[in-house]
Order: sequence, then C-alpha cells, then structure tokens
Amino acid sequence: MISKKIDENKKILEEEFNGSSDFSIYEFKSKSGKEFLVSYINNLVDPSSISQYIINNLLNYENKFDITGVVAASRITEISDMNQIIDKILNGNIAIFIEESTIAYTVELKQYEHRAIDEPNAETVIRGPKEGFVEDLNINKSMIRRKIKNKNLVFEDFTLGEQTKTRISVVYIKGIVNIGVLEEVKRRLFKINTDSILESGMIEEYIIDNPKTIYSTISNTQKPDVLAGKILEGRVAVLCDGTPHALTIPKLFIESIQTSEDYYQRPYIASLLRMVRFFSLLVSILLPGIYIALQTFHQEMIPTVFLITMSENREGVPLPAVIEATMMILMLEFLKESGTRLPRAVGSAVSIVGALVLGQASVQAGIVSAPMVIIVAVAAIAEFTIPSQREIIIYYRLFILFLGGFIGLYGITCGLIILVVQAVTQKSFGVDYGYPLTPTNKSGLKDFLVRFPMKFFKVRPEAISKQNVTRDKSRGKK
Amino acid sequence: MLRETSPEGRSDLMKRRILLVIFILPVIIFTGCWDQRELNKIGIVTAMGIDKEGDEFIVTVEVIKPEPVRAGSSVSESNDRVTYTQGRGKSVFDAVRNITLKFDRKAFLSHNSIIIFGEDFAKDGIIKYLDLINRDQETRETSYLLVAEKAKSYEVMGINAGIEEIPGRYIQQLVENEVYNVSSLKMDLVGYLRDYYNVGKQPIIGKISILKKENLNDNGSKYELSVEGASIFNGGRLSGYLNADETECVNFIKGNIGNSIITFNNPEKVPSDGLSTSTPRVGGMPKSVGKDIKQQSVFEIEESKVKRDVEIVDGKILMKVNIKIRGNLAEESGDIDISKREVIEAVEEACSKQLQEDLKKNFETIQRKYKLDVFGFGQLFHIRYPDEWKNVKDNWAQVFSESDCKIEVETHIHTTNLTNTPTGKEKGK
Repeated sequence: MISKKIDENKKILEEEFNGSSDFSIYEFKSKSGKEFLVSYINNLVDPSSISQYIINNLLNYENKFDITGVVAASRITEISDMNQIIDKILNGNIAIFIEESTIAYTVELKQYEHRAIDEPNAETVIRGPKEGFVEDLNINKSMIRRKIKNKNLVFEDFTLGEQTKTRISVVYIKGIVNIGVLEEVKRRLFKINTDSILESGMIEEYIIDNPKTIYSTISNTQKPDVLAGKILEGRVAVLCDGTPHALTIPKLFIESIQTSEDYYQRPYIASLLRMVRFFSLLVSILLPGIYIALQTFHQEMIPTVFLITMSENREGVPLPAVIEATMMILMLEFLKESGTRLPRAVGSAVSIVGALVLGQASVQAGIVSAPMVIIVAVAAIAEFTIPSQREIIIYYRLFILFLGGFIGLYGITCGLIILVVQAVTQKSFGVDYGYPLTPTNKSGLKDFLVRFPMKFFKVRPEAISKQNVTRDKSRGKK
Repeated sequence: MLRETSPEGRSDLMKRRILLVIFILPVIIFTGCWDQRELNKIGIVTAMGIDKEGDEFIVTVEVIKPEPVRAGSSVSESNDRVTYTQGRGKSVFDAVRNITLKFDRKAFLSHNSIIIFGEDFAKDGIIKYLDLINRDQETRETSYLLVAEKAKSYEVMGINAGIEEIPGRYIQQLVENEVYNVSSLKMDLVGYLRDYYNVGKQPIIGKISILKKENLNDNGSKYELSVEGASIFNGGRLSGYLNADETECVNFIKGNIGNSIITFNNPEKVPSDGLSTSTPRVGGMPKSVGKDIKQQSVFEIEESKVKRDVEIVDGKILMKVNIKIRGNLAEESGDIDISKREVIEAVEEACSKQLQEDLKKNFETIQRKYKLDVFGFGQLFHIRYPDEWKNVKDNWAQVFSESDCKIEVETHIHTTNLTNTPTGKEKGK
C-alpha cells in the first residue's frame, strides 16, 4: 500500500531496490509547496524527458492530487499498489508519488539502447524483405503490425519468470486462428513455473508436445514476414522480449523444407528448390549410411568400374569403413562447432587448417579414403539446406550410419521405418506433424513438394485453420 | 491429451512395451554383421576360366589389383591392374576354394562378368558344372559364357589388345559389341539355362579365339582376341562351332539383330527415270569402271521385327520366318540415282533378296550339318501343335533337319543419310 507520507514511500522503495546503483529516487517541492517523490531506473528512461515533461510541469503544479492534466505524457497510469509500481519501474516507467495521496502515477518514458533492425543472419533470402526481428519486444510488435494492418491482429502479453519477469506476447489473428491451438498454447504458457526465461527456446522446451522425441514440434523464425504468413494460416506466434527469435505453433514437418522465398518466387523455381531441399534432407541423413552399407555388405550392387575405384581408394586404409566414416563425421562436427564458437578473427585460420587436415592431409596420409571425404562433405553441404532440421539430421545420420555399417541395407530400412513412424506419429498442439501427407489432404498437397501457383491457394491449411478457412473472398460471397 | 491409466493398465502397457522391445531387438541385432566384408579384404574377380585336366578341375581367376590412391602422389606406371591365380581341385568349388591356399584375398565373384570354358572342358559338358555358378548367391547370372576355341581358358585370359585396362572388361566389351555386329554371340548364364531347359531348343553360347596380332606397330601384346562365331551345344556338350555367317543367321532368325549391317549387290536393272520405268538401262555401270567390278550398297539396320511361325503343310513341317527391317542406306559404291523412290524400292528389293538368300543358305547348313535346333522352332511347334509334338519330340533334331523353311524379308530404307548422290557418281550423269 502506498503511504500518504512521502518519506515512508521513499524508505520502502529504497529497501525494495536494495540500494542498487541504477535506481534513482528524489524528492522536490512544487512552487505551491507540494512535495513530490520521483523514482525510476537510470538507464531505462530518457533523462531529458524527465526534466522537460515531468519535473518542469510539476514545479508549476498547484492542483491537489490529479496530475494527469499537468504531466505532458501519453502513457500515464494511476496505481495504488506498491508491487505494481515496482514492476512498472523495472519496466522503464517513472513513478510519481504525491504528498497526502494514496495514488501514485507511473509515466512511461522508456529509452534505452537497442540493436537496429538488421537482416537476420540465420534466415537469409535473396528475394523478399530483409528486415529481421530485434531483441526489443515493442519493435517486434510494430514490425508485425506494419505487415498486417488489421484490427483483428491481437497481441496478448504475459510475464514469465519469477526473477527475470520476461515479457512475452502471444500473437494471433482473431477470426483466423485455430482456437483449440490458441487455448492450448495459453494453457501451457500459464503452466510454466520457472524463475527465468531468457530466450524463446526456453519457452519452447517448456511447452513442447513430446520432449522425449527428437522432432521439434515448434517452429521459430527471425523474420516478420514469415511470422505474418504463418499467423495468416491460422497459427499462433509467441514473441519473447530479449530475443529476435519468435515461436510459431503448430509446426508441420513440411515447414522445414519451405522458405518464405518459395512464395515470392515463381512456382517453377520454387517447386524445384523445394524438391532439392527434400532430396538433400534424404541425402544428408542417408548418404554416409548407404555408402558404408554398399561398401561393406552389398558390393555386388555397385557398378564394377566404380567398385574398382572404391577398392583402390580403400586400399591401405587401416580402419574399418564404419569407424572411418564416424571419424570423418566427428571431425566435421568439430569443424562446424569451432566455426560457430570461435572469435571471427581466428575463424578463418580454423577453416584453413580444417580443410587441409580433412581434405588433403588425411587422405594423403592414408588414414581415410578420398571418397569418404567426399561423401561426408556432400552430406554436410546437404545439411545446410535445411537448417531447421539440423538435430534430426545429425542424430539420424549417425544412427543410420551404424545400422548400415553393422547390418547393411536391411538395417537402413529398419532405421528409415523408425524415422518415418516417429515423424508421422508426432502431434504439434493437436495437429498432425505429417500433414498434408499423413493424413492426406488434397488441397494441402498443393503446397507440398510442388508449390502450385498462387491462384490454387483458395483455402488455408485445413489441419491448422478451423474457422474462416477460405482465402479467396470471392468464393465466400457466392 | 494424456490418457488416464490405472496402475494395472500402466503395468500392462509396460509389459507390452518390454515384449515389443524383446521381439524387435533380436531382429535388428541377430541379423548381424556375419556377411560384412571390408573392401580391402576381398579380391574382385573380373573374369573366370574353367578347365579340366584329367579328373582335376582348374579354375583361373582374374583379380583386380587395387593400386592405393594417394592424393598428390603420381599414379604408378605399372600396367598390372590385374593379377591371375589358379586353383585345382576335385570339383569346381573345390578348385575355387583352393585358390585361397595360394592367394591372400578371397575371390569375390559378384562382379565376374565373363566365364570362359576351355575347349576340353566344354566337350566334356558344361551344364553339370554350371550348377555352382547358378546356385551360389555370390555369382552373377548375367555373366557372359564363352568357349575358348582350341585353347585352355587360361590361355585366353590376360590377352588385352584393347583400350580397357582390365582384360576381363576388354572381353566383356567385345561380347557387348554384338549389337553392332551380329556375327558374334552374346549369351549369359540365364539365357543359356533358359535355352537348355526349353524343350525343342538347343543352347548356343559365344566363342572366343586367339588371333595373332597383325598390327606390328603396336608394342603391346602379340595376340588379340576375337569373339567371331559361336559354339553350339548338344545336351550340354560342345558339339561344334558356327562360323561368322552362320552366327549371323542365328542372330537374325532369333530376332537379335541390333544395328547390324547388310552388304548386298545393287540391282541389275534400276529405273532410270522416276516417272517411267519403261526405259531401263544396264545397272549403273559408269563407263570408266570395268564391268567386273560389283556395285554394292550397305544397309544399316535401325529397327527390326522378326516373326516366326511353324505350320504343318501337307503333313510336312514348314518353318516360317518373316523379317522386317528398317534403317538407312549407309554406303553406296555404285552410281545409281538414289534420290528417286523407284530406285530406292529396287535397292530395298535387292537388299531383301540378298539377306533372304544368305539366311536360307546358312539356315540349311545349320539344319543339315549340325542337326541342332538352335532357333527354338521346336518350342514354337510345341506351342502350336501340342498333340503332334508328342510324336516328334523324341527325334525332333532329325525332324528339324528335314523340315522346310521359308524366309521372307522386307526392307525399308527410310533415309539415305546426308546425301542423295553416291560419291562415285560421275558428273552430269
């Protein structure tokens, strides 16, 4: 509760903030002799605005309690609860206490440094908008609002995390969103009980359907146009303050081979690239395993001339083929990880050493065979075409490699069955992961491996969109 | 969301899960790696020869000798891409296994595309020994079968007068060239067995012979191989060789024509004018050329269709063959005006006639000389006249050799390629 005495309020606040150095609090008297207490966090508010709009005006203030007419600021709130005031201060508001009043005012005058809107580094495109989300929630919201100028676009804010008090925002379009999914997302968000949320990935882990499987049933994006496209299909998005990565729910498997560019480019090239991506997913997972299986079990299946080349390359290599492949894949993971972690300046040195060691020296020394280097490199390059399925690719590649190396093609078939069964039994917030293939949906297949021309997209994906399914408004009128 | 399960239900579920794991795990684990073999533990066989000396079988294999490839190091200059090794034993398989006593890598037969039989072995009969190759899962049923004429198989192996670095592949290419030249015969194990088991058909396989190489500029091998001709079998035993023309006849009648060519004499009389055939002149002899020089045309076959039938006419068996060939005029040494439809038709006629005569002659040679139905007319007869077949099946070879045959050929020249004028045609004529 707010005390009528300024001194007491001051004491409470100073205690609450533990004398932190960035916390400012001071008293002053207006010309009419009224006492005021102003408190805020130093680096979250604009100091010149405080003096210009608040203190200047309050000095001339004569009226008794209501200051809303005096303070020239739009976001001004009356609050009578001390805890709420503390929350507001922490979020970059200025709290104003007035002598003899149990009501305090908070004015939002946020100003702090943030990164400029930039091209996202994880999702680069050639055709299409280049802007990406930043760490600030409000800027992110504005970017979405600019894409969808519709009063039905709703942001619902929550705070998560006992300690961090992270602001998150659930975004959807009323009238299009799948209500079941929306309710489920909110239900799971409310159930989160943790002290800190630092990134949307943490939220993802708390609300994901089946944490035991490797398949991720929540997608994420850094691009406002992608997010807009997804919520326009009836999905729900979750923005999290402090990260440029927004979550979109539910996720279908097909989303990992779709890109925003597919819809901005002509359907012919888009379809071709989509098939290339799907093929590269298969190659990335299966190629090393199949190569080893053919090499150690099914030599009769390889064309004779190729087999002779392979055997010449294998000659003198000391390790069994499976170990050789595992070693190469591990080396590749070392390289990739060091490339991500190292400071930029050292990065180029690592790539030179890695390329030399992997590509040439190891072959020259006879530790690995040259085709193996090629196979692993091809699998790695293919992996980069589908970054969102990275974990599946890495794990299943090793899994299939071992099955292929110890049991042959029979093992690879078993592995593939496990992979596919696991994928098609997943559900993302009640929506089938394998849609539109399992369950098969005719209109959904128009946006599967082949991206049909836009005029064929008359309905939203039926698995996700339950209300207002038609996109083509001329059809609705009939 | 999650189904509520009672404690009993849950333990039941657990039991079922454990059972599932127990059933699935052995399937994955125990199928195991028993047949795993590393590439550098096997010797890839590219050709195999089987011979017999007395009671002993000799198996010769040509094994790839992999040269270790190292980046940066220059490719070694040695020509030894393959090495040969031999095993002797009481049976074919015994001989194969005895190779391991002398050779470090186990012979891997899956890529063996050539099986050569020594003449002595073939005369003794190959069919009973083919069982191993047919039965074993490692061997390839598409391996080509060849008989080494007047030689042991290992004498043939290792001769390489071609570009291919591996002698076995050199032989394979020779056999596969059959598509351009049907005077050789391409027959693989499956085809051989199919013919062998067909009633009323005698199997026939390729032949390989060693020739002295005539091109003295070459420093390489002194010998070269030729797959001209074919070996003819009677009940699994070699009974003789067909020459090039006879082999061609067999291939034509079996419909195995490919892109072969037909050389024939030009028609004696060709219509000189496209519109009127009433003023014939003596078949395009340029005055400068002596009368004794033949004018020949060559026809290259592109498409072909062969229909065979057997009929009983007046109590005698008549074998009918109808061959339709379509292709281009590939060579013309005369001076006929082939821009005219009528001339083309006359040339087509001449081609048909030539082919028909050649086929007839060679067919009759095979009929009378070998008395073996390598064409499979017995099989056709069996299908057409099942009742009559019963009477003749025991002495079909005799019946075949006495039956008549009627061969019809239709030729269609659809293009004369790049020119209408024979290169040798005189100006202004």
